[in-house]
Amino acid sequence: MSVTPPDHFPQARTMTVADDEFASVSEGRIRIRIGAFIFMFVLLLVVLRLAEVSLFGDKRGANLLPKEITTTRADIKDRNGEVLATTLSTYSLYAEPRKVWNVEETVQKLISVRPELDINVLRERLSAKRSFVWIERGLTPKERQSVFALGLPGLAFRQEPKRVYPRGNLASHIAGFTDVDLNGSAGVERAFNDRLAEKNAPSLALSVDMRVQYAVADELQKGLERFEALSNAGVVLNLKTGEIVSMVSLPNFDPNDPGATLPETRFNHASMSTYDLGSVFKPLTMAMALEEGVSSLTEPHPVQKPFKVRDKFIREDHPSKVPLAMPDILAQSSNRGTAILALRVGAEKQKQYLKALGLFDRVPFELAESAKPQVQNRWIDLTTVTVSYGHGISVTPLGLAAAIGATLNDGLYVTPTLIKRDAANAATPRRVFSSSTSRHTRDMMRYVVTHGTGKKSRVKGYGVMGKTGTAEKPAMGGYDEKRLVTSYVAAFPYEDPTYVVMITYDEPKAVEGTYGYATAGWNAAPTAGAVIERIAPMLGVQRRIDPIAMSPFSEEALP
Amino acid sequence: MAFTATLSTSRTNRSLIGEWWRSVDHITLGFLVCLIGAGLILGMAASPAASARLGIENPFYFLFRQGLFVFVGLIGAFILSLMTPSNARRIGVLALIGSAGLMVLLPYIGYEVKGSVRWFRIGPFGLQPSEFAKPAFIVFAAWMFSVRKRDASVPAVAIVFAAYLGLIALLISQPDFGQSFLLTLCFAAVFFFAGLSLGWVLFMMSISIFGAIAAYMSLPHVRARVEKFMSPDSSDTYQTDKALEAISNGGFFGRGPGEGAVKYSLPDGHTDFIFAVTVEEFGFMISLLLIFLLAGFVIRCFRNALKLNDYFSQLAVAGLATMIGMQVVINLFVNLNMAPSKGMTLPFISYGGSSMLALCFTAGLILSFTRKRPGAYGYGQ
Repeated sequence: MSVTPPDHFPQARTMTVADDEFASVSEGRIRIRIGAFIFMFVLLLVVLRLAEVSLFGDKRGANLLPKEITTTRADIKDRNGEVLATTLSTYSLYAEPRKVWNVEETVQKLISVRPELDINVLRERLSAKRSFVWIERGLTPKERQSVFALGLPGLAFRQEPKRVYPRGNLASHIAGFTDVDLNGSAGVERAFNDRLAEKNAPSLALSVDMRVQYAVADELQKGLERFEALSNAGVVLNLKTGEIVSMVSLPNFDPNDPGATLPETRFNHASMSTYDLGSVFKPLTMAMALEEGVSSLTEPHPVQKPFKVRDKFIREDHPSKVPLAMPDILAQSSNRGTAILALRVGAEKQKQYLKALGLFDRVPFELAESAKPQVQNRWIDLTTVTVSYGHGISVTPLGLAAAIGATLNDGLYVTPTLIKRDAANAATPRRVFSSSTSRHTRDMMRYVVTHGTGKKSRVKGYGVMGKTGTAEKPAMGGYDEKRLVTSYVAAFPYEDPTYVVMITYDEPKAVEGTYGYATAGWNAAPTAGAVIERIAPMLGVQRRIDPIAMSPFSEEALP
Repeated sequence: MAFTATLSTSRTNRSLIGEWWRSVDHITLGFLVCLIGAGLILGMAASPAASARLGIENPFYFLFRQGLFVFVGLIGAFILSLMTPSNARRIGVLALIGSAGLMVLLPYIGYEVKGSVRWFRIGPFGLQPSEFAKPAFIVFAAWMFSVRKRDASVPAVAIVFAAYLGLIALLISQPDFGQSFLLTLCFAAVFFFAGLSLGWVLFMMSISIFGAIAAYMSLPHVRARVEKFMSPDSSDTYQTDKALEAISNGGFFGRGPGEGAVKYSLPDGHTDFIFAVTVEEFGFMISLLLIFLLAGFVIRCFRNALKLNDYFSQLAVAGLATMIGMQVVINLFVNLNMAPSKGMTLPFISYGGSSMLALCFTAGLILSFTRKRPGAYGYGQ
């Protein structure tokens, strides 16, 4: 070991030891170098890995402050800028049960700040042999903080953008809703999904006026309860621009929690339900007859006589004892009179007009929730007759409102829209009827309100026009007299028709005050009147205080 | 040399301390002091979180205890480094006998933590004799190999193997697979440095692999850990996940001292996973400095081993440095999720009494073996 050889060893022996030791030490030096290099190489790997994780790793929870919402989605607003749908950042609480240290302690502490949680469900979830369970989703920042402050291990938050609908049920069928990943599932959310999901997209202005929407929904709700109907629907359409100012279908749902609602409440009856709407078709037949010149306004038609088409008697709900001219055929809703006119127009012309009025196709507006009308394939003369008063053809309330709108809009059909009209979304009117036809139909619909079945829709000073429609629902082998669909299509003001109001009840009942009637004149018409009373001021329609000319068909004038 | 030494002590100052200061390797000592200081600083970050987690009122409970271990350990290391290499070697061999004896007695005097009987109690402290057995065994093995060179008649290899197998048996019975693994690796390294033929090295490696497979097959907790590492999605990798989260949170400059968030949910944040806590708070740069200090200590020891003339000292220093280096690498691998987790502390940094004392013991041995003596360095150069 020592360089100096011990004295008692022979010199030669010492040299051998030294050489041996030298050889060993030299060999050891090489091997130690190898070891040191391996060590440094492995450490280099460690440093590279450290750089990878610390410098380029994802910064999970690196920021305790709320982050920017990663998924953005543009707001949906009404025509006046009121928010229908917006995106908020919420926190969703989840647990990793394997990492929960003390289930009971965690449960008790969580319940103390989130008392609405179910203690048994919570205990079960936290005890689950799983690595991930949701506890509660959509917490506000304040709620999140209260849970965070508990400092419980195994609980964590995921930041989730949430679509919020401040007006809840009010425009549920229009706005629609999104799935949890913020993809539109219904309504405008679905129809404009790409437009809304675009990065930094501006908010989307709808044609809807939420004040009108509220008035319509409120009146429909009252009517739904009063007449014990299954459902009802209302549409307010600007017939000049095609803008849907309001579209309500009851029952509705809360789009903030679409999963919690019944599927039937998510159904938009205004544009998805097709009904045999009945006599509300009659103004269309009148317009066709006028346009084709098959009858003058004063020609009396023999509606008092039984009328048979293909061995079927045409029934009259309000039988007349005398022949009636067109205004009274409409005002008293004579099926026979309408049938006579329709037969004069003829099947081919009738089909052309219905097609031009958009009643053979789904309403081509933005929403996917637009049902295709049910039209008979075999169009015989009996079809012409029944369709002339709205039977044997099923259309949506929105579709009919648009058709009536065209009739009153100087004869110009405008495609309905849910988007506020501007230069980019301008209406493209299509002529269906002449101006004079439109004017005469307007007069006749006014006459319905002043002298006919629509009296209960009268609103002082707005010159309401309208037409009732009561249809029996199709049943096995015919129609069910007890189950009705009643509608009322109204328009106002008389001097310058601008808005169409369409109200439809599904199976309203005769109730106290309706004298045993459940027909449109007793439910849909007064609802339409109540709606107009409320929305006309909002829509800037001035109430006339001087008497309005009732219509050319009467010398009387009403205030 | 004489010139610089006179700055502190005169060459004629033959006092024990003066002699020590002049002959001890200042760089190794510097690295040691820096590492232990860094460990205490990092303990300030990790200790309050650990205390809070365990409901201990004093936030610096672990720091104070660690300070005490450091104090005792450094005094021990200093005393050891005062000794001559041969005396230090004797202490090492005695430590091997002593720790092996304690390990035999563990089933009677020890207590169980998390299913293993590794500790026995001295007052308020738990001591883990296997921590001391590792460096002691390395010294013993180095001694045996050097004896073998000197006198071939001694059945050195057989004696070393017997000691190795005895220690492994004791460790497995605790059970402590991690330490067995480390001991085997260190033994293989010393074997390799000792210039034994490649056949022996291959034999050692196959024993390690066979042992690892056997452990995997027969020991459920070993199997569970390996499977966890292999398929992180299927099972609980809480600590490693949290460690990675902490490291990724750190970034370049870290979140700042005391600003770490993950340490509160990292149960071993003050022991095995102190590195992750360090990265989160101090960032990539400071962590790199820490790795540099650890690597510096090990590399300096290797360098000294290279230059030592004495075969025993060379082997012992290289072996002990390998042990510390391997512990560093394994700990960092586990922190960075490059290896399945096993109870391995970060040398000089992690909290732990036995670990700290054993490492100070190791450092003391290294300092003693590498002291400058006439003829100790530069043989044949």
